[in-house]
Amino acid sequence: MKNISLLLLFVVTSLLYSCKESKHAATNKVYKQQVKEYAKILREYPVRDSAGLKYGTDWAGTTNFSMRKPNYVIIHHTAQNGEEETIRTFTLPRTQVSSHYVVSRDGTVHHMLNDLLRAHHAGVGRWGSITDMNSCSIGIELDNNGSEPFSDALMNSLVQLLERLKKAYNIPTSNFIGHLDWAPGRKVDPSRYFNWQLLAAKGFGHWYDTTGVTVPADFNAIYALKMIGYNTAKPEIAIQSYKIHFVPKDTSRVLNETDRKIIFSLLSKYQ
Amino acid sequence: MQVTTTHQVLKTIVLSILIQGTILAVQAQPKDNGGNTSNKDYLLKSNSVPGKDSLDATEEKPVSGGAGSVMAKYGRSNQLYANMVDSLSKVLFRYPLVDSAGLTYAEEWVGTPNMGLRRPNYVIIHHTANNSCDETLREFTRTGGREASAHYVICKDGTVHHMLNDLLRSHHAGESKWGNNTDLNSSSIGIEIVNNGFEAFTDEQISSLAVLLERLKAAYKIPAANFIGHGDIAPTRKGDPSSKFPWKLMSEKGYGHWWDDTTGVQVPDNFDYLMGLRIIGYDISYPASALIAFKRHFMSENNGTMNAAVRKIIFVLYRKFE
Repeated sequence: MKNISLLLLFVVTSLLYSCKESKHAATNKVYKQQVKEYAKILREYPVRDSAGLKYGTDWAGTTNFSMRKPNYVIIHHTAQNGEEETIRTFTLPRTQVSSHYVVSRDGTVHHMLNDLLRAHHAGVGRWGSITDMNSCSIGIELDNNGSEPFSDALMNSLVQLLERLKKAYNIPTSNFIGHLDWAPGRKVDPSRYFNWQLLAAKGFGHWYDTTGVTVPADFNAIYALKMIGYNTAKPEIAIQSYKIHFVPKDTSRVLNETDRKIIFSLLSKYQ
Repeated sequence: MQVTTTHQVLKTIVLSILIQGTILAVQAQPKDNGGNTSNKDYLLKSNSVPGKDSLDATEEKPVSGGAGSVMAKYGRSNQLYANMVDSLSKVLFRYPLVDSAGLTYAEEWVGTPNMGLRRPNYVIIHHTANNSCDETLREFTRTGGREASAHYVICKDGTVHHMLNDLLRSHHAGESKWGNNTDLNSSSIGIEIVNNGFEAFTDEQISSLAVLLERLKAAYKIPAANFIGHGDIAPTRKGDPSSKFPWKLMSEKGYGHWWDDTTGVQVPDNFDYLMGLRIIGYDISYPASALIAFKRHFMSENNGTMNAAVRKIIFVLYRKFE
């Protein structure tokens, strides 16, 4: 009898609950199904998937393992008009794009994907030797149309969020970068309005100090950008991304003496 | 998250019941067809498995199904593997996602269906520094010791043990750094080759390794540059695989880079070889260790002597890592 009443309570509350959550219920259901499918993949054993390999007859699984974690945070702006539009984009399977977090201009945070899963936010690019940034990063989309300042409320929420991520996954200070750093030429977000200096002061990404810096005459600034992580295959677009990130007021694509000082000063921090 | 209203309390209870239910449902799924590719498999394995091993279909049995002879030897630790995967994947079922103290979360949770599992982008080669496969398997199935593991172990006769799903994180790299990546375990596949550290690697091992690397490279689109050694990512702590490992041969097959003939190469006077090593990926916090690691990998030498020939090789090589 007790069981039946519990069951009834369960049914009634589930119904109430599902009515309450109707707005995104359909896509949230897809989320849950997807997670289920992926969990199934992890449960496949014995693992024997290379054709032509000589596998041991006794399968031995190891007992020492964990989930793959993010080591980078990639910051984006949505280039859209408001969070509604972004959320719609990210809940449509056909767009195939997503991010772990969307931060609205009023500071509200939408956590749309478990940190341990892979969001589709970075696309094609390169940072150091990494060619699959989606697999090793957290993607954060900031609600901003790309030609306006980022609101204080948004920046405050972002800082709080970064604090948690840095601590939870031991993400090094160097590894907070922008979408434009990952994909120079293809991407220019976050825009020149984004305050990287503020983030660096709080321990997310690096900033420079050029006072008293003397740059050796033979210093190769392009190699240095490469060392920081930039794909310098096309130097002028690497320079463009570097400028938007580190010298937002300068819209040129050439390195001058100030840039050489800045890059020289940054170099030691990225080692 | 502060649960303040009764509605929220109710919501939490209902959710936890729902989530538990989901997990139980997944756990209860029959696994007899575990070998068959599930719906999402094509995302990860499509270009990797032209013809699966015939073994798969007949031998894959549920671990929980118990005492089949296939599982007898490592039955207990295999059960532990299964339980651990279950409890790890429970983490993925947590939603709504509200996990930062103090953040202003949206009232309604919205999930995105555009997702995947994190994949490896590097392959790290090790040698076991012991004499037998059994010893290695014992170590990797032991809890409470070093808690070390690898995705693959390759025995001297070329037999391969795939000990962990590629999509999970194995504990093989330890404290390490390559470029600005400081969590190589999270972004790599670890392969241990049984070898005492002083002897040659067997032909059977090298040919099994080549078959394995071919699949990994195709399955996860791992770039040639990203096949490296444990000693490369932890130069102050590790020296494996030893200088006897045939990196040149592997690079000819597309796994790792190598340098060409350096005759006639002019190295500019201002070439900073440490910057070269850093661009390749080496942590140069301890330059002497980085140089030793480089020479072990690219010159099969066990010393840290710097000279014009080494400079030349670094100069030729680092540009391939661009």
